[in-house]
Amino acid sequence: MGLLLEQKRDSGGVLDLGRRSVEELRRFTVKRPVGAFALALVLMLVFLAVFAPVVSPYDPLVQHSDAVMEAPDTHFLFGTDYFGRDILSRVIYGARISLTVGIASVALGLAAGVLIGLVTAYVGGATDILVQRLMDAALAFPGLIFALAIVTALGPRLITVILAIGFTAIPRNNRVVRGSVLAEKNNLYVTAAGASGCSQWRIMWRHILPNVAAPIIIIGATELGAAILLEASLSFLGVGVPPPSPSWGSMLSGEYRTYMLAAPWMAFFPGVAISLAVLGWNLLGDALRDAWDPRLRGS
Amino acid sequence: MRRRRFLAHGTVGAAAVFTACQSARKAPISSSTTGASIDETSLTPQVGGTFQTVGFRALEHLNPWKVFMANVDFYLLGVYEQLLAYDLKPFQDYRSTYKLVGALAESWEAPDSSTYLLHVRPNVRWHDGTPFTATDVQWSLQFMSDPANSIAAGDHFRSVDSMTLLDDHTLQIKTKQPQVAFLNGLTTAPKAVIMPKHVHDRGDQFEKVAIGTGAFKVTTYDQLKGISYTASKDYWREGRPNLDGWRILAPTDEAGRLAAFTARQNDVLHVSSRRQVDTLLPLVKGARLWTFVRDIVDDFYMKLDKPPFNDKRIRQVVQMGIDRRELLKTLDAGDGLMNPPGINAVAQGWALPQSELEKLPGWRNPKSQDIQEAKQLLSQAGYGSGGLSFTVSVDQAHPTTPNQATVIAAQLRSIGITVNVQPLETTVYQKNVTSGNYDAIIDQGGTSSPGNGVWQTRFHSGGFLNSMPVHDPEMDRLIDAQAQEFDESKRKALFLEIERLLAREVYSIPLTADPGYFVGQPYVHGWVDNEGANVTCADWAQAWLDQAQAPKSR
Repeated sequence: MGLLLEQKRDSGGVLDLGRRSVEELRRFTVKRPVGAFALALVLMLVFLAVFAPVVSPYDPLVQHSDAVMEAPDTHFLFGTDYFGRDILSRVIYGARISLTVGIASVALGLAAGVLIGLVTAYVGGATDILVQRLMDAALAFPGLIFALAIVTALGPRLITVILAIGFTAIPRNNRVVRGSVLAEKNNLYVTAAGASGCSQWRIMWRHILPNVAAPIIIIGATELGAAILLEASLSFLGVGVPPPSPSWGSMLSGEYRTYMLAAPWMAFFPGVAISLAVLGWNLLGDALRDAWDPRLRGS
Repeated sequence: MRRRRFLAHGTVGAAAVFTACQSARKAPISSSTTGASIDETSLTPQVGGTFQTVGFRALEHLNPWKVFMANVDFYLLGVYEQLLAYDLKPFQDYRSTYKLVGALAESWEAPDSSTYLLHVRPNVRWHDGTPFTATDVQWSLQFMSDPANSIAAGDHFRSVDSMTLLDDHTLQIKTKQPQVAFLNGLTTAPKAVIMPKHVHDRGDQFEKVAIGTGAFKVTTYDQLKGISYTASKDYWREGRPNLDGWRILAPTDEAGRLAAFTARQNDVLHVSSRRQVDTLLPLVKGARLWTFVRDIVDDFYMKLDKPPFNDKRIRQVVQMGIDRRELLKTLDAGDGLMNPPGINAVAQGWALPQSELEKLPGWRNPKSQDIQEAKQLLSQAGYGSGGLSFTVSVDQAHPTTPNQATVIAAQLRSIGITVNVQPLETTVYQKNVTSGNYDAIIDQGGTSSPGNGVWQTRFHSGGFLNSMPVHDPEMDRLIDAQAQEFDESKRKALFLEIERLLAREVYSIPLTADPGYFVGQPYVHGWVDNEGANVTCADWAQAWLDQAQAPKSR
C-alpha cells in the first residue's frame, strides 16, 4: 500500500510514508488481488476526475444537434444523449462530481463523527449518554430520507448535497469511533500519559486518535462508495446537483429512462460507472479492513 | 466458480446491450405523417367500457377555477362544462375553422356589438339532480370576474358591464365596449367553466365537492392513487357518453406512462419524439398514430423590472442567442415551426409568417449574424468579459419546457452567458409565476386561437399573469383595439402589429411550436385531442372502446 500507518502504542503513533510503501504495495497486490483490482478502479476514477479536461473527447455540455441519441460509434464511443451531448465526456466529468461530493461529504462526516465519538467516549458520563441518544435518534432516519429533507430545505446545489450526505454519515462514524476509543482509553499508555501531566485534549489527540486511525480510514473508504451512491440517488430524484451538470445519477433519470428502449446506451454507461465506482470503494474498504483489523488478520 | 459465473453473465449482458444499441441505431426514423387524419366516420360507436390513462401531474383538488390550467383540461373537462365549445370531431384538427358550437348555451344572439343574449339549455341538470339555469351562469361569471377571487378567467369577464336575467334560461350580457373575442373567450378563457351556485351557497367547498353538468361524475378521488369517474345517466347530449367510466391512474413520469402503455394499462399517449414513436409502435400491435403541430405557445418570459432584464439590450442578446432552428433540430428532429411572439405559428393570417420572422433579429438564418450582434450588445451592456448569469425556472412536470431550458442554457453559454436551470415542483412553480418570483421562466400561454392570444393575460397592464410586468401604453392600446375590431382583416393587422411590437421590445421571447405524436391503443376510438402539450381529451363524451379488442378489465 502507498499509505502505511506505523503505530507505536506507547508513544502515541507515527505516520510513515517512506521506503516500505513500494514493498507494501507489492505484498498487498499478491496477497489481496481483489483489493488491488479495487485500488486500480479507484485510481482510475481519481485519474479521470482530475484529468477530465484532458481525457474527455468533448465538452460535456456542448450539444451536437446533428447527432442526437446516436448509438456508440467511432465519433462518440458511448453514443450521445437526448440533447446530442457526448455520453463518454459526461461520464468522465461525472466522476468529478461523484468524487468531489464523495470526498467532501466523507471528510465532513468523518471529521464531525470522529470529534463527537472521540470526545464523548473519552469524557463519558452524562455527556456521553446524552449525545449518544441524539445520535441514536438520528440513526433512526433512513439516510436517503434524511439527505432528501436537508437538500429540499436548503435547495439543490453542490454544497447542500455535500452537507446532506455528510450529515447522514455522522451518526454512523460516531458509533464506530466511539467503540474504538472505548477500547483504547483503558490501555496503560493512556493512563501513563495522564500521569505524566498530559491534558485531556493532548491525550485524545496525540495518543488515542492515532491508535484508532485504522478503523477511521477503513470506514472512510467504505463510506465513499455509499456517498457516491447517495449522491447518484439524489440526482436521480432530481434534487442533486442541478442540470446541466453531468451527474451520473441525473443521467439515469428523465429522458435517459424515458428512452431506455430507444437508446439504451444513454442509461447503460452511467449505470456502469456508478457500479464500478461503488464497487471499487467498497472492495478497497474491505481490503483495508482485512489488512489492518487485527481481529481478522490471519483468519 | 463465482468469478467465472460473474464473467460469463457480464459478457452476456454486455453483448445484449451492444446488440440493443445496434438495433436502436438501425431502427429507421419514419417520415412524419403530420396533418394526416384518421377517418372514423364509418364506424359506429360502441357503448360501455372504462377508459383508462395515467396522469402526468397530480390534481391539487377538485376546484377547476383554482387548479393548474392543464389539470382542468385533463381531469375536469369531463365533469364541468363551458358555455360554448369548438366543433370537435375525433382525430380532426379543429384549428382549421375554429367553429363555435353551443355547449351549456344552446344558442346565442348579438343584437349589437356590445350585447349578447345567451340561451342556456333547458334540459340540463347538475350531477345532484338540481336543474341548471341561467342563474348559475350569471353567478359563475360574476364570481370569476371578481378580482378578490383570483381566478385566471376573470381577465376575460372584467369587460362585462352588466348581466341581466331575462328568464330562467336567458342571460343578457352587456360588455363595456365591443369585444369581438367575447364569445371565443367563453370556450377558451382558462378555466371558464360554469359552477353550481347552490353548492357554493350551502357552504360546500368546490375543492372537495365536484358537482358539474358534464358527461362524467367523480366517484373517487385520491391525490396519490388517482381519480375515477362514472357516466352521468342524465347527461343532456342524447346517446352520450359512450363509455361507462373513466379512470385516471396516479401520475408518473414519461417513462412510467410509456411502460404503462406497452402493458395496456394506459390507453393513450403523447410522445415527444419520432424516435420514440418508431420504438413504441412495434411493441403495441395495431397502435394508432396521429401527428399534429402542438397548439401551445412556450415563451421565454423575463422579469422586466429588475436586473438583468430591465436592460433591453440584455433581452435582445438572449433573443438573438437562442437558436430556434437548433431547438427544433435537437428536440424535434427538425419538425415543428418557429413561433412568433405570443401566438402559435399554425394560426395562418394571424401569426407573423415564417418568411417575415426570418428577417427579424433572433430568427435570422444563418445564425452567425445574430450571434455577432448579440456579442456586441453584450459588450455594450458591460458583459463583454462575461459575468452575466441568471436562473430560468421551469415546471419540472412539463413535457417540453425543461428540455427547452437545457438546450437554451447551452446555446447562451456559447456566447458567454451562464444560465442556471431550476426545475421546480408544479405548485411552487405556479406560485412563483403568479407572484413574479423569478429571473426568467419558460411558460406556456396562449394557443393559435384568434380569440385567445395571450395578450390580455400576459401583456396588458393588470393582466392576471402579467407578473413580468409589462406596462406599455402602446401595447395596451393595440390589445384593446383588436378586442373591439370586428373587421377580420383589420383585426389580423392589429394582431401582427402586436407581434411586431413584442419582437421589437422583447417583452417575451417566443420559442417553437413542436410536433406532437398521439399514440393510442388499437381499441381506442372517438378520441378528440386538444393538441396541447400533454395528451388530453377535449370531449370525453365522444370517446369509445372497441370491446372486442379492449382488455377484459375494462
